[in-house]
Parts: sequence; structure tokens; C-alpha cells
Amino acid sequence: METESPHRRLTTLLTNTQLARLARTRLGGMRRFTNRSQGEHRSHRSGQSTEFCDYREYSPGDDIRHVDWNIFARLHRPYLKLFLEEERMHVVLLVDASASMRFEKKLPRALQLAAAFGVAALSGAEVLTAAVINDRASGLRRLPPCKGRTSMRRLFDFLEATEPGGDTPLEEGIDALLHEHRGRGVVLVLSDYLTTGDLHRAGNATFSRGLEIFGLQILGPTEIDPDVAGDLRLIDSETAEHLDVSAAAQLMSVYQEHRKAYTRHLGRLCRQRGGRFLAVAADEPLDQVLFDRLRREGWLR
Amino acid sequence: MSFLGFSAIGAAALFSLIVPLVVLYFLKLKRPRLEVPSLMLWRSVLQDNRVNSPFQRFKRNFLLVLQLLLLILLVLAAMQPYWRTDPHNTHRLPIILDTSASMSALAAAGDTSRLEAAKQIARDLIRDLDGHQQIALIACNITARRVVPFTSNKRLLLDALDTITVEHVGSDLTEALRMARAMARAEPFNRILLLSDGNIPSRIDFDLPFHLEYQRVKPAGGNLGIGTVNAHRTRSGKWSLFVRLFASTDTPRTGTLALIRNGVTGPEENVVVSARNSPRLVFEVPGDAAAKIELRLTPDGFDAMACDNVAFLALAPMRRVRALVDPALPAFHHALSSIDQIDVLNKADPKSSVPLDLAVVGAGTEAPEAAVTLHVGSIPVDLEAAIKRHDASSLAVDWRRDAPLLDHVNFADLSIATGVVYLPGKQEADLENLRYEVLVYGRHGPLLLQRFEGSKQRFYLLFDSDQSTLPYRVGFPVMVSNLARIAMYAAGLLEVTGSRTHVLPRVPLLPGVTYQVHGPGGYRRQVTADRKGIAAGVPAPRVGRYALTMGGDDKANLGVSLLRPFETQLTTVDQITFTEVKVNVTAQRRLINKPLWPWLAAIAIVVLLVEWWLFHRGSKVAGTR
Repeated sequence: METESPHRRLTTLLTNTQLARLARTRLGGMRRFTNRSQGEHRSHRSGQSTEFCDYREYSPGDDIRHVDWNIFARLHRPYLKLFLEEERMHVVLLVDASASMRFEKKLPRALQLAAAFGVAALSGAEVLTAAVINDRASGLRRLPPCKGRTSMRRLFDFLEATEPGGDTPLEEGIDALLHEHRGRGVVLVLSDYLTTGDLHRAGNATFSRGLEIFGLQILGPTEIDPDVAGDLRLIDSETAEHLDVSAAAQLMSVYQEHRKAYTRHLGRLCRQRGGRFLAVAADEPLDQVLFDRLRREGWLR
Repeated sequence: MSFLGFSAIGAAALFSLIVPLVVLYFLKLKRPRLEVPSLMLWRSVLQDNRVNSPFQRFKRNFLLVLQLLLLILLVLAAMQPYWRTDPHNTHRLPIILDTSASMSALAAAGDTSRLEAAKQIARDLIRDLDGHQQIALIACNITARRVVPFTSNKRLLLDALDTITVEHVGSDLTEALRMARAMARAEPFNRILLLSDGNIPSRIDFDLPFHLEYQRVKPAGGNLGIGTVNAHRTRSGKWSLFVRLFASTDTPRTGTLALIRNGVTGPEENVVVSARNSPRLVFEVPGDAAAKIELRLTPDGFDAMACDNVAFLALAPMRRVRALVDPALPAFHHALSSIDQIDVLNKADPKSSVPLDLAVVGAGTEAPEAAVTLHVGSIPVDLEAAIKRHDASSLAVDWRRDAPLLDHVNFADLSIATGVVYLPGKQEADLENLRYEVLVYGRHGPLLLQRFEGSKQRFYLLFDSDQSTLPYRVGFPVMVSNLARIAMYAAGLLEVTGSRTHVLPRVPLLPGVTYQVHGPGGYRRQVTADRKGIAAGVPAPRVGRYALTMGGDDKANLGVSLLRPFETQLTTVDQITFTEVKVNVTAQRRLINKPLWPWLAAIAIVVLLVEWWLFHRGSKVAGTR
């Protein structure tokens, strides 16, 4: 796949083969946060589609065009014929491109996954919105809602133009997104989640806005298993704060305990709000993530 | 009392290096910077670690602590600290190692000998020597040998220690202590260490000028061995061979004793021996021919010592004693003629190859070569400056009743017409200086003298027996009979005792000829017979047969055995009584201070490794990009 000529590829983020496979996949939501606009997702409500759903007795005020006259002729009572409603789902891609994502190709991997989810969403006639978290000052960089396969080019251009940097915490990025976003559906948050902020509040706000939160944590290999020893001064890439660590090698077991506990905490946070959570390594093969893990986890169908 | 001391206290000045170390540490304290995506996880890790670690503040500068610890350990090691196990700060310590036969005993099958255990104690002491302490090694059994003089050279001491081996002889500390006393005159010391199994005499006639530390190694296991071997002539012309066995334990031990005569195994006896029951076994051996007897004991089960399981005895063929009596002494002729098994000759046969066993010669008669000679009525030439004849009558006032010649002889009321007197200024000591021993004391001078000349024995009856009442005394034939027994004993015709280790018995050989001596365990040396043809003083440190050869031909073959019941019984003493003091055995404790610097150096290496592991192992600061 990687041997394809770059000139013939639609995007630098994904190969054409991957794009082709992704075009045949759809996002698998846990709940059905959909919108009234016409779409591919069946609504609980009856609607205007051609697919029969049920009958119910006529009530005054109902549109008499929906009365099933054959039933009326037999029973001499009016019944309405109900059809399924197919609604459109909003898919929001929120990519954390703050300074911490600059390490170990975490951002490129986040952009690749965002592109993959975007392709799946546009192929499924969803409304897609993308946003990138960078600086506090400049706020979110957004891709306006778009739909249809023709919008893929815009999505790829938007993602490929993303540069790492900035110090916006993830929870502030989510707040900023929700502040402007309208519509129910799914929000995919691609980040390393290395923030000290309150993600509970951000998760609650997301859930209350009718967005199913899909958290995807991307960590570099040395974040998963740091190879450090001796006395070190650790510098935070976003805040430039430092922390002195002595005999770092002795702390690795504690570090692993904390990292795993934090991952479990994030998973719990998403699942308690009807969402999903998955942690992937930045160096894990993309095909394996896309077509194996995400499929098995039910993120893509 | 302080338990810790330092041999090189001046090295404490190196502690001043702590100041530059601390200064340099803080000057150099620039930690490698590592940019990480976020400090979030690290903060929680450190927070958790601080809560759970009571020494977190201490750990903040853990590297400095490790470096300070390393410096302190190295400086302490340089100060050569020692654990004060020796309250006397011994500077020189002679070590006497018992190398007697009992030190070859084992505690159990497969164990090392008692000497090896003693050597291990000495080895530990030598290894702990500091540069200012000296040790001398003295190997001691019947005799003593200075193995190495005072030195602090550990290699020299350890090599010398390895050369010390057990000799199959008894124990006597006297000579070793004398040697130590002589060493103390040149290089003073106040303590001496004796390493032994305790199988040493409990009473030693010696004035201890220093403190003796008597340390005993672990006792040996049970032992069974041959203690004494001798043979007596029977009236029937045979030899009765008496063997006595000894054991070291009260528990009865069993074994088999075999008699091998001229290489042919004879009768075997099953024996049961305990420390309380030492059986004596008797074997009959024909006396018609010379016989080389070997007794071999095979104990059942474990036996601590092997060297006492074999004994040798050489038996001469039976013959009559040849005695020459001066015809001028008819009383002696008559008395000797009445004794069985003696041929009394009036004149020596110069053609006879059989030497005389006994000669009784009067004054003015040349004495022939004989093993035992009695001179009657003559004063030895070398005593003419000390004693002389005195024409006054004399009496015997005292006599040596323990002398074999005077056994059951009473000289009371003996009248002598012509006595002997000391010349002015002379006394018995002057005779003793000339190797004469007075057996009978007269009123004014000696009456009977004894002198040993090599293997020969001479008696001098200084008065004329015909001018005394001696021939008419009841004691006269008894004395002549004793003389005959002495001659028979000297000729090996009355009683033969097994030769013991230490020195080979005298061997008659060709005068002035040098012989090769081959012994057990690769023993080799040369010996030259003296002008009388006697090879004497040949050391025989181990049990076994020694061959004296010349040009490859065996000229003599002698077997020597341990035959020391005290060694076989492995008797140990808890207390040694000297002339003025008593020395008790002490628990094994160190007489040399225990040096601690090797431990400090080892800990310093561990600290260095810990520092490397914690701070330098990943010096590439992995995780950097």
C-alpha cells in the first residue's frame, strides 16, 4: 500500500487502498443521536420514507393523506399508515494538535485516524464537522459542516494543513467545540488526553448536547514505556514547567501503574456517558488499528 | 575499651575531600533536560512516591548521598580500620604448630587432619596481618623447628605454612618453648600461640617468660592402634612377642591383628579394644633364625589415625652369649660360668667373626672389643687427674639402686682394703663432665663407675675386688648375673623392643662409608658411618621401613613404628602445668585484630555499582528524540 506513487494518492494521510476500504465502512454508534434531517439512520419516530413501520388509529388533526383507505373500507374506521423515518447523524472530529501531540508522530497518527473516520462518515451521508485544537488565542480551527463524498477533498485539505503546537487543554477545546456546535451525533476526540483539567465536566457537557463521545487516546512508545534513568529535569512541552526526577529508573513501576490507571479512568469516563474509549500506540500499524481493532471494538462497521 | 581501631589514622585527612565533592556536586548539578509531552503522569507518580517513601527528601539528592557514602567508605578503608579482637595489640606473634603423630588424625572419614585445621587457623591469622604485625612459625613435635622467622610477608608465611607436615613422633613442647624464648631475646614479644589437638604432655618443666595462648582444634574421631611391641626370650629358645593395643574411645572397637614374619602372613587375631581395656596379645615366634616381624592392624570401621596400625620388630637368631673373663679374676669366671646360655672364654679368638658380648678385664690387661665391658681394679686414664687410689680402707656409703647392674645388690658392710679418693678440688661433677656416672659411692670417692660409649657400655670397678669382701658377698653373683643380663640385652638376646620413629636405631656399617637412606613417603638422605662403623642419628620422621643402600645394594633394612600409646589414645589435656604457672585451653579467639578494610572496599564497590545502575546505566537518557 505504501508503495503507491504519492502523485496518484488523494491524500497524504491515507493510501487509496485504505480509502477504498474505508468508503465501505460506517461509523458504529452506541446510541442513536440523530437529527431530523434526512439521512441513513433509522429514527425511532415514524417518518417519510417508503419503508412501512406500523399502523395507528386516526386522531383529529392527523394528515388524512396518511389514512390507509383499504383498511377504512374493510373496518369503517380510519387508521393511519406509518413509515420509518431516516435521519442524518452529525459526526464531529476533534483533533488535539497541541504541543504534546508533536511527540513521536502522535499528531500524524491522530490526523490519519481522523481522516479515516471522516471518510467513513462522509461515505455514510453523515454531516461531518472537524475541529483542531491548537492555541488558546486563536481558538479552534474548524471545518464547517459538510456532507457527501465530494466533501472528502475539503476534509483532507483541512487535516493536512494542521500544524502541531499550542497550549490549549483538551477540556477547553471540547468546551469551545460545544459552544459553537449544533446537532446530535458522535464526537470523536483524538488526543493523548494528557491534561490535568476536568474531563468529567467536558464529558457531561458533550453527553447533554446529544453527542456520543468516542475517545481515542494516542500515546507514543516512550510514553507507554519510558526508557529513562538517573536524575532528570522533565520539561512540559505545553506549559514549559519542569519537574526534577531522581533515580527515574526506580519510578517506572509506579509510572506504569499510574498510566494504566489513567487509561482505565478515561475508559470509564466515556462509557459512563454512553460512549467508547480506545487507547492506541502511535507506532501501531495503521491498518491494524483501522481494520482490526476498531472493527473488533465496533467503532467501524 | 574501644572495639575499633585504625592502623593508618593519618588517612583521615582524606575526609577533607568531602568539601570539594559537595561543592563540585552542586556546581555540576545540572540535570539532563528531557522534554516530555506532559508532566501530568510524572507529577502523580512523584506525588505517590513521596507519600509512600519516608526518605523522599533524602532521595532528592540521592546521588550526592551515594557519592559521599562512597568517599567515606574509601577513606575509612584507607585508614585501615580493624576490629579489636586482640586486646593486647600484639605486634609479634610466634605460632607453635603441633606436628606430632596425633595431628594426622581425622575427625571423621573424609575430613581433613588436625594439622590442617590448625593450619587453617594460622592461615586466617596470617591473612589478617596488617603491615605492622609479624608472625613466626615454629613446628613442634619431639623437637622444634623454626619454619619461618618473624615477618609480615604474608606470601612467605603462607608458603612456609604449606610446607609444614605431620611427623609420626610424639609431642614435647619444651624445645619449642626454648626456641621461642631465644627468639624473644632478639625480637621481644609477650604472647605466643600454641595450636594443637591437645595431645601434649600436661606437665612441662619450663619457666614461661611470656603468655602462652593454648588453642585446641576440634578433637579427632575414634582411633585404634598398636601401642607397644616387644619380644622376650623364652627358656625354650623361642621369642614371645607381646603386642599391646590401645583405643581412644570408651566404646569397644574391633579389628584384626595380623603377624607377618619375613613377608609371610602368619596368625591373625580378632581384637576388641577400648580406652579402658588395652589387651596384650602374645605370639610365639621361633628363635632359630633372624626374623623381620611386621604387625598390621586392620580396624573395623573408621580409624582416625593410620600410622599406628603397623609396627615392626627385628629379631636376632638365638645364640649363646660370648663372655671373656680375665684369668686373673677367677671369682668373676666362676660366677659367670654358673649362668646358663653363656660361654665363658679365657682368651679372645682373633679369628672369630662373632664379636664378644661381655668382657671382664683386670688392671693392666688390654680390654677387647665387647658390647659390655667391666674393668676391675683400674682407674680410667682420663680420670687420673680427678681420682686416685688411697691406701686406707673404705666402705660403700651409698649406691644407685635403680641401676640395672645393681638390681637387688646390697653393698652395706662391704669392706675395701684400698679405696679411691677425689683429688683436691675434684668432685663428682668433674666425673660427670667426662661422661662417667657414679653407681657406688665410697667414703672419700667413687667405687663403681658407668660410661656409655656409643652402643657400648663400660663399667669401672675402681677397687681391686680381691682386696675387698665383694666376692664373698651374696650380692656378688647377683651383680655378675645382672652384668650378664645387660650383655644379653645389648646383644638383643634377652629382650627386643620395637624401634620407634624420630631417629633410626644405630646400624653397624663400614666405617667412613656414605650410604643412601630411602624411607616412606619419598624420604631420601645420605648418612656416613663414623670411624667405628656406626650410622647414627638418621632422622626417621615417618612410620615404615628405611633401607640403607650403597651402590644400589641393600645394606640394612630397618622398620620403625609409632609405638606411643599417648599418641594412639589421642589423650587431650585441658591444662598444661609449667614450673610456675598453669595454662588452660582457651576457646578459639583471634590474637590478631580483624582488618575491616576489605569489607569497606567491598561495600564501596557495591555503592559504586548502585550509583551506576541508578544514574549512569541509561546515560543516553532514553526517551530523547
